[in-house]
Amino acid sequence: MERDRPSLTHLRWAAIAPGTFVVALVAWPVAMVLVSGIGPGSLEVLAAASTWRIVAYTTAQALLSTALSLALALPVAYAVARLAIPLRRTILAVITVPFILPTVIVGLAFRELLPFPGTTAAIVVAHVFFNVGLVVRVVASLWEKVDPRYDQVGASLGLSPVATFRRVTLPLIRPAVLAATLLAFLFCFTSFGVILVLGDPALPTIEVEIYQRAIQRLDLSGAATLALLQLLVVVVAVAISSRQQEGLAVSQRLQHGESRQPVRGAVAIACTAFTYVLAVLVVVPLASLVSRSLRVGDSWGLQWYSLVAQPADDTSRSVPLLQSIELSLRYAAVATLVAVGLGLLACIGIQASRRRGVWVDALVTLPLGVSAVTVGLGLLLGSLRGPVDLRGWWLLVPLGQALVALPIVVRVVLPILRSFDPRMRDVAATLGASPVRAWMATEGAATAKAIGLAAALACAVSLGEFGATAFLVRLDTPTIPVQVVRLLGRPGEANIGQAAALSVILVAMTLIVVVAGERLRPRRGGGW
Amino acid sequence: MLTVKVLGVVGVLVAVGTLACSSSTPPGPPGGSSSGPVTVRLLTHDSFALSDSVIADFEATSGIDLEIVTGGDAGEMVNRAVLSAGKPDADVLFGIDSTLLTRAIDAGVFVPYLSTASAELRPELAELGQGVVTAIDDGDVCVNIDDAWFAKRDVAAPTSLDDLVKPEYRGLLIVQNPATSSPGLAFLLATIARYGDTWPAYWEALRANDVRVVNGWSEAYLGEFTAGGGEGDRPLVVSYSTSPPAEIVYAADPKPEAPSTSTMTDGCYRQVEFAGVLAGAAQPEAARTVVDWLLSPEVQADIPLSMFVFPARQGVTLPDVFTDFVTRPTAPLEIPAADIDSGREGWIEQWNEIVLR
Amino acid sequence: MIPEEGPRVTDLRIDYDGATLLDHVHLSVSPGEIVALLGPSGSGKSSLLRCIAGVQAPESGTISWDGVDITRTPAHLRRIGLVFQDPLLFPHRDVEGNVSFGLRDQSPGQRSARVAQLLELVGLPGFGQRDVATLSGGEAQRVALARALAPRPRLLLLDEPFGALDRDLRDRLGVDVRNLLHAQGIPAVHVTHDRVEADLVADRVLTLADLTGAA
Repeated sequence: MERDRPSLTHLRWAAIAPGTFVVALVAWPVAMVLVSGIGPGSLEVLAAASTWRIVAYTTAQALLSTALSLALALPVAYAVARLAIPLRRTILAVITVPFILPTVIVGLAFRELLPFPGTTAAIVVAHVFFNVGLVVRVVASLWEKVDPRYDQVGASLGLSPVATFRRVTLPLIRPAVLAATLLAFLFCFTSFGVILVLGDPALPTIEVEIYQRAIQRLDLSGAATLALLQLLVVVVAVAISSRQQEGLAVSQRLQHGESRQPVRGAVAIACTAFTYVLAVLVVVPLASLVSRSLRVGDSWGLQWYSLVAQPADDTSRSVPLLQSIELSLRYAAVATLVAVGLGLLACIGIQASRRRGVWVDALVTLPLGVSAVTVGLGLLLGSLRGPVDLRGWWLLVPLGQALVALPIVVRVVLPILRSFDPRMRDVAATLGASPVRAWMATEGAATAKAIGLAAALACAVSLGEFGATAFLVRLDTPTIPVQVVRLLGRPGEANIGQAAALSVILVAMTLIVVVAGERLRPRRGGGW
Repeated sequence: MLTVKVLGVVGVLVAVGTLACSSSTPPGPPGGSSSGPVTVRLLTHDSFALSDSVIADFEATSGIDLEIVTGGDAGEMVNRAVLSAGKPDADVLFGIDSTLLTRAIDAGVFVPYLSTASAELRPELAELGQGVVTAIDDGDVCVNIDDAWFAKRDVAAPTSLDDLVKPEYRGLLIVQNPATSSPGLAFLLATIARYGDTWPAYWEALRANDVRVVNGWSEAYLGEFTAGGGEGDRPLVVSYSTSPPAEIVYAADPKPEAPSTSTMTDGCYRQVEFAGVLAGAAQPEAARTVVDWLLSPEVQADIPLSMFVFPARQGVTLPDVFTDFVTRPTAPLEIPAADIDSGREGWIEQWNEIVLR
Repeated sequence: MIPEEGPRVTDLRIDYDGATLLDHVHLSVSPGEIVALLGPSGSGKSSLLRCIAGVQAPESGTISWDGVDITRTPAHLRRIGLVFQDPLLFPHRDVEGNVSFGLRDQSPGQRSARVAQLLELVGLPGFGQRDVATLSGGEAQRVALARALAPRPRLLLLDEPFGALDRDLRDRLGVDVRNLLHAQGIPAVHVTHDRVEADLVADRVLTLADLTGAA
């Protein structure tokens, strides 16, 4: 039972005000796209056959990628959720790694690895690589809580294992399957870095077309129209998904503990074997990237790394690569602070404003579906056509990155905040804690570890962010992903070699950040 | 002590950020009113090149520290300049060509500056800068031919745009996407200049003849062209009239006496590259000096072998490989800058519909 | 007229979800007295305690202490302890960290002495370093009680504190609590729906009807 806590009214208003600020900040680029995207030119864009071919192609590759990701992820989710397989936690961690990797870098890794780069198949493979781990995580988290005795009931009623899965298990885990499907679809539908590096130039997706229109053809209005079109598809997808979710809402008894069975039987053995194979396959593109960065001509060496480390000389032809590393770190640090700060404010706002919180929640999560390129385009339009000319302001880059990372922060922190019993704060108050100390001692303490993780993820996202950054970054201050794409645009072994070396460095930075974030978990019983 | 840990990490991040801040270049170089070298940032495309010694001499004599900022292909670089007009990423821009000039000028990318050396320009180039920018070099975009490839198969190489749609040249030509590549756009303009309103039919025919489209010159020439040093498989590519001598200059020793490639003299489009001072430049005074320098005899003499284009200044002695192996088309195709500006968007859209469908 | 002493609730009205839950509530507690409040769940007993503790505001009426109106005083300044049915121990603190939570203004030495003393009182000596997740239900509730008593509240509010425990434990704890409160001279309001428990713990047993109208 939720009861009003008038003693917290002040805190609540204090929370809603910054929440509104966050909303305004997120809504701003979208509004700019909206304003620019609806104009006399938009009909022309919408009437062009090429527009619809691009939409169709984008949707088709996203659906194909999503379907494949699901098909590969379900057996793994089963093994991870239901079976007592050795190295379970390690496997889970390994298959989740791709999701935090920079898209551009993964594109490069697959470009080197696959015999068929520049094709739709290559894009799909890379997308599956990104999404399998995500689907496994989302599905397994529900699956392991479904009481296994439901399956046993099914079996005792004479259902075959397949029929049991189809008629008993699947309906029970369907909410998670749907959620994972939506996430994977949105990822593939708004994918940018992968397609730019790995795709067929003659087959742009909406996201690539937005970028090319804006940057290569200076057709900002056309780009905005396409961004709106993309947003529309995203909204429709989300709407369909939530309708489905509502129709499926089954209230079931979830078990608290998890019970895993020993690996026995053909299906279990097959799923387990497949899980291990997949975990190994996840490492392959990264290994190929590392090997590319060490291959110099026909031999091996660290030449590309020493080129990266070379300081700029007077007549250098481009921004020194070392500077990109510094810049990436700087931008990521600022973006992390901004994303975590805004994310926390948003969470508190959502939490404090109950019913209106749903809208705040939806708006803050918007960048998840809005796509990085749209955020970048919106910020560019905003600084170009807004009341204050912000072009060239370096803070725009981390701001764009922060907006892209914001939903992740909210998704990580909000559930922890929500799971917290609000009466804890009352207890603290009756023990003499002021409202601020009461919050710090309860929700604050509980979210501290989540904040650490959220910060790490936000940092990883910002480090590898390309879609928004590509729009906002100054030519003389490229981040690592931007630099990698530039290097790939030039021919010759040296450029690819240096791109690979930079990529390996970026992957290492990303992994260090995320592992550090995971390590922030507090020991039980530790005080402030 | 969890907070301490979290704050520690945040602190490290901030520290790294501050460090990075302090060690990387701030957006504006310090003003060079009194002493010390002034840093001038030169925005240009990826293909920009000059001999290191020429740049070093300039820096030594002028007291200007030249920092080169590259912005991708010429088209992308100019578009970036247009988007940041008034708040530029650099002080001076080199490498904008006639196809994008009117748009950039209208967008207020440049502050007008007529170089003190502009009297030395070849007469046909003198007026093209519209009093805002200064012509630095020019070149011709022509179809390049791998003569060795054709000789080996005993096939006559094509000699005109009309030839390219004939069945014997099916599947042999590589062009660049005019939306993303400067020579790609030049070649499209050449076909428009030649065929007028019927150019779409010509491209339909090219497409039917299996033309291959790539995004940039490097990918086309160095990657897909049979004589480009890569593992290419097509003997016809849109490139520059000066590409054949480049083959010799860049060849490993012993260098061949004559290039194995040549250009098709029909259907060439003349490209002129300009330099100008960017509006909002932090160092406008020094930026003007850089424009003058680009037109100086030293740079102009260095240009042919560095960038494989022709100097805009008259009376500059050309290297032997240029006089021996470059055929300048007598009647290059051209479209007035203003017409290009009004037509380009629509042409590219239409081209997209025809070729990339 | 006897001068007012201790807590007094006068003509309180409490709404819930727009409807009036309780109205015209009057209650006073004598020094050191334990009052049990009986009634079915959902009848508003908990809301009354929350109002007295200051974590909820009444619609109208006053709460006073020694005649001073404290209706608008924030919870953390009232020095009124509250124990819920769930122990609600802070999961990120150990037993000592929980019990010492309200002892911020004391020196570390004083604090640990007080914690040790209270753990002794609630029958959990030496439990200070234990992780709260390892406690049984009865142990956790004892820690919650120690935590509430540590800052020496001038009134303790117990909201079905033994509701989650079994009969045996409930009776034992009931007696313990009664002795503890009496020994410390702390007045208390003990809400329960269990008549036996009420008789066991309290000096005076009231129903909600006694507080409204009738009183």
